[in-house]
Amino acid sequence: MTTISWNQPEKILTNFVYKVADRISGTISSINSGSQRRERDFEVHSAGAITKTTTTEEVDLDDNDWITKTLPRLEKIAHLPENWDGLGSQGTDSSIVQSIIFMLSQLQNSFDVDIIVPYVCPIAGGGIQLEWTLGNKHVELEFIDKDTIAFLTEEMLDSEEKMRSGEISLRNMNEIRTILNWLMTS
Amino acid sequence: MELNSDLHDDPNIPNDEPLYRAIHPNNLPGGNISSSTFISRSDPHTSVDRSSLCTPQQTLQRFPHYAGVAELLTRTVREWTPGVASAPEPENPAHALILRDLSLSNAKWKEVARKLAKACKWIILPSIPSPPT
Repeated sequence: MTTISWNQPEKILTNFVYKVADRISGTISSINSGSQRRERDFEVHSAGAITKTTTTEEVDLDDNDWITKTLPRLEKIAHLPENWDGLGSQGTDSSIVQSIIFMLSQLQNSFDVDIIVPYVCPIAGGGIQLEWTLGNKHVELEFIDKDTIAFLTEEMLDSEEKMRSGEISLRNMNEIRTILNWLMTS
Repeated sequence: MELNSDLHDDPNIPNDEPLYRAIHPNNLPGGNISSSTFISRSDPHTSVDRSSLCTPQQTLQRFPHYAGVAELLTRTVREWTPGVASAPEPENPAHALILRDLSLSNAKWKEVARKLAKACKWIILPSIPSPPT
């Protein structure tokens, strides 16, 4: 049985979440664009868990948005084996993967502009960092634990780098949206 | 500044000595070295090799699945961190550690890690294409 849980399941019960859960668990090997009929094999419990079941429903999948394009790389990093770095790192912390899924689900349809696809980097010891670079701007979101993100923004101005960093709660989606809107604004 | 009590900057490592760091292909967004190279949840300090005691080829030989080897000047590391500690190991006498000030928040260390990553210069270029961004 595969279980994925987070803090606010009632707000993120979207096709997207099912799609991600499928991919991360390896249930669905490929995703096609458009509306399609397929098995949905997760259900939500009141405690905030999604548990495998088997039902069938119509779902709308969009392969063209930045979130969907992030998933293959996230899936790869989610399945890194122990000692992937040759220095004894543990595999990726599953609670971090769940937090990223939560964040991505909260961000879908949040922007008026197309967000570029982030690069998903593993952090030694089981962490994950998302990175975006666009022009002279750079953003990093490092998932320190399941509830906390360390962020870095950098802008090159006349060969001088202007950095800003801090820690934000995963619940503070407005701050995350503000950072990504800053990245995409020329 | 807070450090592990047994770790300290080694004054015998000269400022102009390059330090070698093997770079994993997972940490190369768009072919650039990511700050994640210098971040770890399990070990605050970052392993490097002293160039006076080994070659970059020897560094890469110990990590055959890594993409390449980059170098940082000790002077640069000292500018942003508490320094470089010698940490020789039986199988790697060149081993040293870039020290992290443990009083720094994760966010502040991200700024340092980003600066270190941008200061790296390739000595052995990646032969494995990095994944697309």
